[in-house]
Amino acid sequence: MTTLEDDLRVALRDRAQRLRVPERPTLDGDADQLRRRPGSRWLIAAACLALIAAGVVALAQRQAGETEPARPVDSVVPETTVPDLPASSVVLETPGPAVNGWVALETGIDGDGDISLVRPGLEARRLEVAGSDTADDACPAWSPDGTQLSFGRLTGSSETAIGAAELVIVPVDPDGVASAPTVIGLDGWNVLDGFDPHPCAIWAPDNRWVAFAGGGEVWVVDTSGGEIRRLPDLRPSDLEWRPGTDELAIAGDMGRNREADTAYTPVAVYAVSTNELRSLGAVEAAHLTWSPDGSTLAYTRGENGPAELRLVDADGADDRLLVADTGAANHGIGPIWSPAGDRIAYQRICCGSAEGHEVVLVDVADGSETVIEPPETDGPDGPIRWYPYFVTWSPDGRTLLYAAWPRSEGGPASPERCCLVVVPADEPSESTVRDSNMTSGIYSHQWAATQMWGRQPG
Amino acid sequence: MIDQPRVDVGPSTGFDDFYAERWAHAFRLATLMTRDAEAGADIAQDVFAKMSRRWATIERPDAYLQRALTNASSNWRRNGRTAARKRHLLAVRDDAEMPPLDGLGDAVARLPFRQRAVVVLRYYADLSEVDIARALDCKPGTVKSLSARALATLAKEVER
Repeated sequence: MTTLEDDLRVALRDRAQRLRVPERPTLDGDADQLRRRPGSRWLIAAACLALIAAGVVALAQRQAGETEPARPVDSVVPETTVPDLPASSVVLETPGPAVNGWVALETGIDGDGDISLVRPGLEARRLEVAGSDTADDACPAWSPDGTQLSFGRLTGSSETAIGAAELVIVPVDPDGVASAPTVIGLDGWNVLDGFDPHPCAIWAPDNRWVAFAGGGEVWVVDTSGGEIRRLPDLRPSDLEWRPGTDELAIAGDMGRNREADTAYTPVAVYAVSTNELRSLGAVEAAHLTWSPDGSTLAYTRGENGPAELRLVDADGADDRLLVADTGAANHGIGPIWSPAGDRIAYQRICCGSAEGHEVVLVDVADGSETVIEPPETDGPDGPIRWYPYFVTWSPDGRTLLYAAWPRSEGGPASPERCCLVVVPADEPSESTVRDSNMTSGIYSHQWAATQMWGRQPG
Repeated sequence: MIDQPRVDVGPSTGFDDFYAERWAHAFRLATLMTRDAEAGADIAQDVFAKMSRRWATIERPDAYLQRALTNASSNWRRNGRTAARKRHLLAVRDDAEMPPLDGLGDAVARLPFRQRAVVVLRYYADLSEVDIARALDCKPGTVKSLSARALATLAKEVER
């Protein structure tokens, strides 16, 4: 008796053998005459280490307030520089007890996923949480008060069965040390075909409720009491809690699977206190972001909608255009309002690439734009451009954080080298590549993470 | 037997030999992932052309080839969506080079791209979980999940 796997091997090989292989075309070039250059991986690693050192210095300096006053910048190609100082000579600003400042990452591409924390001047380190040694963890998000971290966990996965999905809530002290976690089982959890199966939660302003989307429904979970509410018939491309309220804005439709176009839909607003959904006026969106005071919603539409960035009041009134053409974007990413409230960052495809994006900062007051082209570094095979998967703001609104992937000229992407790129919003020429050990699973999540940088309480 | 040796070609091997040995495999792999023989040939040719220019710096040619083919197939799928929607407007499309689908092959072809890629890389190319993760830009845990979902779907199809 054969198994399905045996049948698959036979069917695929049979099908492959029945393909009529076309004649091998003649390629131009004299590749055989090129001399092989040894140790290119070592050179890459050395370059990455040097860049990390640069990031450490730049971040530490920025945190210590040694930067120049901000000034407007138009269309800057950030360049990274390797400092003279080795990383070990960096003087750290010791974080006080009331400051978070940790950036939470997914790491560990060569094994199941882990959560790591990184902070200016410190090496990324794995967050030790009970159960993580045997589980696949991803999608970290900081609570608004910076005291708790949530992440999605898969356990017991195997070749033939999907493991159980859990939501893990763990208190983390100012030194980045985790306490005993609260683990909430998600019976019935499912995701749309083609997406990463981890639950990717976002925190409500009350530091208690979280929300995430599954395969055709939105889950709203009380992290204190474990209550789970499931909102059916929703496949949103974006979710965001309205600051200062218990309201969750839900927008868009991802379609049945990864291959479907992202569509825009009427925006629904769910209130935890009433357990009811209502429409936000006549607004239709695929991606959205709230202003930090919760008074205004900015939104864009999906792949087949107008490429506009629009604003609307929280009650659905005064729908107005901010940017007429935001271009195209992949990866399900949407605009992100800065914590300071003055700017909105969005991404658009650039540079003749099918996948590469640049970041545009829009001044909310007048709609003027500043383009931040993908940062470049030197690589062994020529310049390397770092394209963001997604972008998030630092809690103080001064710095952008890219989860970025590199592409060297003429070569394929190297997503296993997914890095953290730190881009000062007003000085993008000081951008630094910070950490090269992130995983690229973020690309597979249904929407972009926005709470990876812990906010300062109070 | 599949037509792909399991061991990377060594540094001393010339590009021409690598190209000659791997052309058929690359074409078949890209075609299985894209479900389109024409696209498979185009993708394989593009990937080999890039490899020829960078041959001196590629340390693991087979790993590079698999990843590049997977990336290019994914990009083709993404970029080709609009074209695919308008394909019926073309006068005649020659599908003669594609063999007819059978039950299981048909079910594989209907899988979402990433699940299909995992199945093809695992059961046609015999890649390990880690190598598939590298080729697909994801974690081994994601490969497990994608594989499990694909197998669950295929099992249901077989039962019908």
